[in-house]
Amino acid sequence: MSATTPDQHAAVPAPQHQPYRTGLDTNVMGLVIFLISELALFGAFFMYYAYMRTIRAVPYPGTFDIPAEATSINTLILVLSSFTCEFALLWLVRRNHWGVFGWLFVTFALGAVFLGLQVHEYMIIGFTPQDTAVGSIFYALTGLHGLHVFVGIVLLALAMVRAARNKWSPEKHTGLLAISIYWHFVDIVWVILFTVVYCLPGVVG
Amino acid sequence: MKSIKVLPLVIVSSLIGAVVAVILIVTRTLPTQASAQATNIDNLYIYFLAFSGVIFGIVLIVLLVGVYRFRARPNDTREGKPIHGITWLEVLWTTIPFLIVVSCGAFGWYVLDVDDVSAEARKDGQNVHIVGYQFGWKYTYLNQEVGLQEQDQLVLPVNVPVRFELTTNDVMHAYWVPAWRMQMSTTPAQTNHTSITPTQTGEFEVICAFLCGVGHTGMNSSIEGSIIPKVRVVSQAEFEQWVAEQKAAAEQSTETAQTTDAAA
Amino acid sequence: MTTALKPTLARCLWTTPLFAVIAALAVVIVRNVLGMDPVVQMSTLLTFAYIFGSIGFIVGIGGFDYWWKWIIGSDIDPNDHSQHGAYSWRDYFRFNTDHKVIGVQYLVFVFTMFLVGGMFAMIFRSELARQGSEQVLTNQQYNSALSQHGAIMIFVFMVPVFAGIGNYVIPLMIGAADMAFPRVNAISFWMLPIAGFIFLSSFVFGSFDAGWTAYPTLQDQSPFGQTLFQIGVIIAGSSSIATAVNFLVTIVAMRAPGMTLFRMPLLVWSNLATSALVVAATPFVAGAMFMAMFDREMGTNFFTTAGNGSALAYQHIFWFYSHPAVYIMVLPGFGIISEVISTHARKPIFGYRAVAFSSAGIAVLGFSVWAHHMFASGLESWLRVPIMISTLLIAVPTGIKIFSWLGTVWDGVVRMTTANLFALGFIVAFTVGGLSGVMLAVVPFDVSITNSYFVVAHFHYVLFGGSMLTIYAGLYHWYPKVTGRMYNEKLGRWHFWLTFAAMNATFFPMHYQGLEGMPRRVSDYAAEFAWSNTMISIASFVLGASTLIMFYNFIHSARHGKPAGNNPWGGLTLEWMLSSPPPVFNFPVTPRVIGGPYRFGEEGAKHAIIPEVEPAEVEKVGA
Repeated sequence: MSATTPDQHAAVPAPQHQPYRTGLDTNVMGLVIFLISELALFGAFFMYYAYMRTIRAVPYPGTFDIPAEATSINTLILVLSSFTCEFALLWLVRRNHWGVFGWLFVTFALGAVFLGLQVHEYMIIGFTPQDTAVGSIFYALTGLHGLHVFVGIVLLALAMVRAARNKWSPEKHTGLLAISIYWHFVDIVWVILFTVVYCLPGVVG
Repeated sequence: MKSIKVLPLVIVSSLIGAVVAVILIVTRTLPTQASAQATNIDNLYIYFLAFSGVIFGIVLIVLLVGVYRFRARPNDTREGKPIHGITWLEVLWTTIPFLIVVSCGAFGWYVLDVDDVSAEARKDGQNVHIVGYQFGWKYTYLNQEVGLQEQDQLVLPVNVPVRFELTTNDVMHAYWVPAWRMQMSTTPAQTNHTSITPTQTGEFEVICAFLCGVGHTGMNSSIEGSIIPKVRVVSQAEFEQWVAEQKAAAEQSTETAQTTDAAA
Repeated sequence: MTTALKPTLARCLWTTPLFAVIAALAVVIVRNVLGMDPVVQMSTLLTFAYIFGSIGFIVGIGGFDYWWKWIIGSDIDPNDHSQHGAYSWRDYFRFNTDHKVIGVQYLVFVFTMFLVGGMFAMIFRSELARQGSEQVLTNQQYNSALSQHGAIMIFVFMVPVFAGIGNYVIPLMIGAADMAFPRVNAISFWMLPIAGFIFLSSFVFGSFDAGWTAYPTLQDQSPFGQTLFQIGVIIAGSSSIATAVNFLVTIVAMRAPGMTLFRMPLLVWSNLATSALVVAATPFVAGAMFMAMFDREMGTNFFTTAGNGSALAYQHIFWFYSHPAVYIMVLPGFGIISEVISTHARKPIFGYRAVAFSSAGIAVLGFSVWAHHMFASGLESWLRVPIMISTLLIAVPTGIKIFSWLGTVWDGVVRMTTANLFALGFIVAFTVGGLSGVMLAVVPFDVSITNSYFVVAHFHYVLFGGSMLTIYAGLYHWYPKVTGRMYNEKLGRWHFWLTFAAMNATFFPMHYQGLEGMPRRVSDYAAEFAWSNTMISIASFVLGASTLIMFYNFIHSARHGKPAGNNPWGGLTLEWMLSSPPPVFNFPVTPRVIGGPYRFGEEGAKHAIIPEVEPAEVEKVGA
């Protein structure tokens, strides 16, 4: 450590981490590529679900009906939160940091409600992760998504801390933008999950 | 000047490659061909060796000649020719491999198709259910007239198509009889199928080809001291005799069991 | 005392156990609250302790320090480069954001693991040297040794070694100051020692013994070490995803002005294709590992027979990653070969665009061939022919590359340096591996021979004859750039010829063993294989010993080699325009790329120029 004194750095020019040509924000680009990777992780679980339900034709454990209607409300909540998250960015443009805070809080609260309802569903659904392969994958898919929502609301909480301290500005808000992109991603995955896991069994049987 | 000589070189090297291929084909060391399928698969192998030899010959000899002829002398400051590509040549070496792999695919598909004798076996052949376990095999003859349960040894009549159903109750195994060129796994939670027509009488090695635990090595009839019985292919008459013997033995053992029960 | 708080390895010594103990306690508390029995379940406890201990290590080494300050809103200086660059050997043992330091860290670490993985191969080859069972190892130990060999070689050697070479070379080649995310880069390196440690520490818990593929349901029977295998794979996988994201962004966004896509060196092209593969494929292995781990530790039924699960589903998901992984392990090597052959044969790469597009083609096709590992596994029968066709087709772009390299050698001025020897040796060995690959793609032939030593021979020709020789070629090629000194050419040749001869002597006879009926992963064999196995074992020991020559050569030459100068090979790409080793922040002025990367033989042709003054800099001063 002792060898690395700041003085030695003073002589060399600062490196450029921003692109020379494309002008794209590397942070956002990196996030998007990372989310593609995340989508592939969900893809592994979706692939398993599709394989087990179609080629293997394994039914849900017991004679249980997936609570599609109750979960629809949950879906609405999450879709709504995607809009409220975007409002935070709109309020940022107006340089109203308490407005940003407020909308972030609404998003946070909607996410928390979503998680609560999800846990409630686990309690009433009538099968456990140990009940056959389809029980396992149901919990794995919704659980993996729930974990992403949880990470999302933690990030939102941290963004709220920075918003309260007025650390975001229209000029410097990559972190906030990243969180909102992530939140939209979580939302999109949920819509896919809702369609595949909750709605399709009702249609296809 | 130099590029003109490439074509003769390619021809010569492909001829040398062909000679190598012929040597490889003649000296091939495969187990005996004990099934109708084995002949087809070996023909496939001979075809592979033929084009592989030629391609390998071209790559190796063109490389060696090229490296020798265009080697740098000590303190050589010359540079190579600024050739960035020759389109027709690139098209050629895309097309030819493409044609070769397509021919492989066609040949493979054909062999896959003719090797499948499960329909014949279902109609008037043998049907055997194989259960792989740690560490051995159990055979159940599904045909009514045979009807043997849980045998330790597989005995089959020669020249009769056989259809196998393979399954397991523990872990994945793979039922491999090299002399038949046949391998199929016993995958947990599902039944796999394969079929074969034995064409040679005798005893053949049966090997578990998939890692299945500490006893995997021993699950191989060719290992010294193995307790796994080899596969036996016999004439139709011998087979019927064997079936009768096994049935008698089975009846006797049930009778003994019943008498022991009664005695108890 | 203060060193224990600063981001150093010393801080890891207390953060790692702290996180592990907290996680273990949390597990006990949660189990107590939920009324689960028993409250202290060792395997669950250890699973969480290992996962959180790993996070603790990253915290300790300083991976999150900067972001933590940013999150809590502390003042941070984006231009703080105190973690950048190496000024003494100690800087290689800390969290360092310099891509060149990270590259060296990667290479040193993965080659240590290479020795360990090779040692396991030597150990089980000594069991195989003579006919007879349980001579050196018990069957249990034998299975552990072969599983460790596979897992270490693939997950903590072959995949990350290219990340190491890429890390060092790519930012230099594209004229960037560093990778796009230097901190992520450092974290992805530090995840690897964790993964390596987890693999090896599994010996305390009975190791893992279900092969590197770890198919269920066999892996359900393995000791706790199997769970550690899964955690290790997930961590190593996360590391390679993070690196791939980094490479993608760096290559797409941070190329020097003038470097269009078709002016990129081919190593950059192949890393672009590889990174795309990693990003899209690696999560699948993580998914498979998570499910298998849940089956083991939580009693779920993803792959169990009893719970309607499907063991075949594991194979589908696993190979959906692990076949592309083969291209992940060889595509960057193709890039290295293009660089090495072109530079040492003094000739432009023959058919640059075809070679570049074939990388992309392999990457795309690579996703459609996974099930060829499962022809004899009871694969859905309608999938067999399509997969056979796509597998065969992948030979075409690979063939294009081989022929293009031949075309590059032809009419060149071929310098037989060690790097080039390895590159040329690679062409020969990889052709053998490629041809046996075509054979194995054909379903009827495959099912007659799969899981035999023929397959072992095939993938060792691809991974040793292919990837490993490219790695050696790359190491010898860029060694002068990294150390600033030349290696001993004579020792290098010895290394090549011994390695090449021993490699062929080791792996070629395996084709015949497989064809004659020797299954893989066995500790004993029939009498007919006795003499060939003895010969193979002897050759494999020679192969193992030959690597020591390289280690001696590199370690000795780093001190005592002749100074290399900036450009010992006369390369045209950007890294050769810098001093050896390059300055801490690479380019003093952003270079301008003015032509293709392989303009050998053109009078006075240049790939790039480094302007005297940064034009933008002048404007800034003026303003």
